[in-house]
Amino acid sequence: MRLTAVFRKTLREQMRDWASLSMVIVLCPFFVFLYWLMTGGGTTSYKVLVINQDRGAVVAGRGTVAAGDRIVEAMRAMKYASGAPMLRVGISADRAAAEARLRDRDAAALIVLPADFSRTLHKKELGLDSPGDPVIVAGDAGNPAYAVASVLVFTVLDAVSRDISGVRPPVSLKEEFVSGTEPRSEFEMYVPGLLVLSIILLIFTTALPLVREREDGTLRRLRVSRMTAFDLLGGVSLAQVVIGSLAVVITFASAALLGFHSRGPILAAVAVSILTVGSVIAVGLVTACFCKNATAVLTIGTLPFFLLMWFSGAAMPLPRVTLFAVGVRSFAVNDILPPTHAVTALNKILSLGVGLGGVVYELIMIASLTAIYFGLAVWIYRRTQLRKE
Amino acid sequence: MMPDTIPAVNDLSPRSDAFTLDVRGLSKRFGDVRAVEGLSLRIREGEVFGLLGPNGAGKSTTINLICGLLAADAGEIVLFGEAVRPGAEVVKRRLGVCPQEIIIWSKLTCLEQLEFTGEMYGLPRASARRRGLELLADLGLAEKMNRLAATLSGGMKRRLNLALALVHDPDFVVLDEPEAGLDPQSRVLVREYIRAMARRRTVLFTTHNMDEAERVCDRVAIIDHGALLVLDTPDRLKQTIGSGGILEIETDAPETAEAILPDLEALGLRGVRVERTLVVRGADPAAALPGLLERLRARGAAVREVKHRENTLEDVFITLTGRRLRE
Repeated sequence: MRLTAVFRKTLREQMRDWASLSMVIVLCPFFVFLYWLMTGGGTTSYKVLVINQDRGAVVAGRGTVAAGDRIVEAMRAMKYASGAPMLRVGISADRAAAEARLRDRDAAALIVLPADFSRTLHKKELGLDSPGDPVIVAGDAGNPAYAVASVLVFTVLDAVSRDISGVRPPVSLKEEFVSGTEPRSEFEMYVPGLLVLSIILLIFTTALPLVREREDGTLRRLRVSRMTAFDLLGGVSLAQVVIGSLAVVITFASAALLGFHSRGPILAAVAVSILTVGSVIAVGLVTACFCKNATAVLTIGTLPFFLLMWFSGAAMPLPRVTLFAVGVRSFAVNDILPPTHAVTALNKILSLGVGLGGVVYELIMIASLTAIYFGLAVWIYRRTQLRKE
Repeated sequence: MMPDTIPAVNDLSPRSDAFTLDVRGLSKRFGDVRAVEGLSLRIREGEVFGLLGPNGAGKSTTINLICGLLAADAGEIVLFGEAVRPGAEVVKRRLGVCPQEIIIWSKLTCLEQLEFTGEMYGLPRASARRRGLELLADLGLAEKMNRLAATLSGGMKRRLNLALALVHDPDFVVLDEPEAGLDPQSRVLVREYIRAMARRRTVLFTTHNMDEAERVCDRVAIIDHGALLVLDTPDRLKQTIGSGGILEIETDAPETAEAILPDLEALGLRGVRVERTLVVRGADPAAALPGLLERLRARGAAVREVKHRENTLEDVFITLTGRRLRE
């Protein structure tokens, strides 16, 4: 069978091209490792600076109360499930120097506790209306770390203030997670996106062997044989699926070694990833149809690469622009990109703990888009590369 | 000076099924360039047919048209009685092409790429492997069967290039400059192999090496600017410009030397000027040499070199076009 012959041949050539093979196999695990390092071994500790001017208050029967110190202790006590600290607290005395560190993004937030902080809380406890000087929380609004750090700081301020003053909020609030489980570490939250991002790189490794057939002239030899566009593209795709799947398995294994754990069945996540590998390869085949040489792959290929990376939500969450809806399903522009569904499915499995049964829609969409892109690639390849000149 | 004209000897009888290839009125243009213009020729089953011409004469375009890689603007190609159309089964089943360039997969071994190519032509894997082993043995590459093609010498790559055209055992083999770049040892081996396989199949090959064509071909067609000039056996083509030898006289004043050409007829000779050289042919041009040298000296043209050789196919081309094949 010609398709399997192309598959064997492509796999052999790829196995002998150690440089590009190792790029494909090692790149994604390397990204995962790099991110693990950047998140401090799986979790991010946000650096906050505290200028503690609080002079404390003498309370009858309790001695001296130092609310400022309690705030600092409570912030230091905030831990992830792994035991890693959520905040790294630094004490500062110079506000100008502290603000300079905020501008340099050396710290995420600055908290200034006023001199009358303890006395203000004690007066509240006694039912006296005394606003006192404000607690200042400062930061760079353009720094995403500030948004997270300030929420954590406000949580501590609220809890300690209520504890010391005895003042209760007018309504009680209860936070519940969709998954019904504890929050994920930042490292764990980003693994699905990293995985999809690395799979998208297969666009280039799929297009290159096909373009090389043209560049080396071997396509001319194949054109006079009985080989069809389906044989060639199918064989190349199968070889890339094998290599891409290997990369997926190694990536999950290395992520697990670094502390990643899936809420749902890991095999379901692997299955979704492998299907996604196939869909990205199909996009790579379409790309190859328009490339005459390797340089063109690297230039023309950036268009589908960035489309898939940015508009599928692999790099960052995107708002959905709904085109139309059928029943409970809405269709957005970026639904034509297979990784859009892969990101959703992987988040459901890895973070929310659903099994394959919970991602049937996404699986159908990825499979359908794979078939459409592959069919399109065969059609275009036949007309652009195999026709008589 | 106008070149002599020689009528084309080409069998164009109505029956085409007795021929491996029947090309009629073939034309192909690339923009304003006429690559092939009204080419008609027939190749008989089992013969080795040479397509000769200088670079740019239209040889490779003709081959690409025959192989179905190019679409003709006009004309018809019939292969084994079947018209060659896009995706024609007869081309894929019965035609083997050895391109002028070395087209191999550098990261596959010799045997792997023969197996792969065989499978692309529809051979079962085992048959493709068996056939590949046979070809490697026949072309002196058996010891290199497990070597990556990238590591072969230039001559070995050429032989592998030839083997890839034959792996599916085609009835009609098209070889585009098969001896180009071969070392003398490989050249003899390939030449013998072409002669041997011609007993079982038809061979069309292009070359601008006249020696090669004379030694290997049953018939040759000489084309120039995409059009057929002559077609016949090498011996008969040479006879059409007369028997005897050739004198090549190179001078330092070719324009002055050319003035003696009208005098040749009186001596029973004919000649043309090709660049700095007077090419003189006749029954016994050597006998006329002293007289010719005297005439040149009288006109002030100093003679640099004189060669006396046998009549070749190149002389046929020179006679027809006033140019050498390698120009």
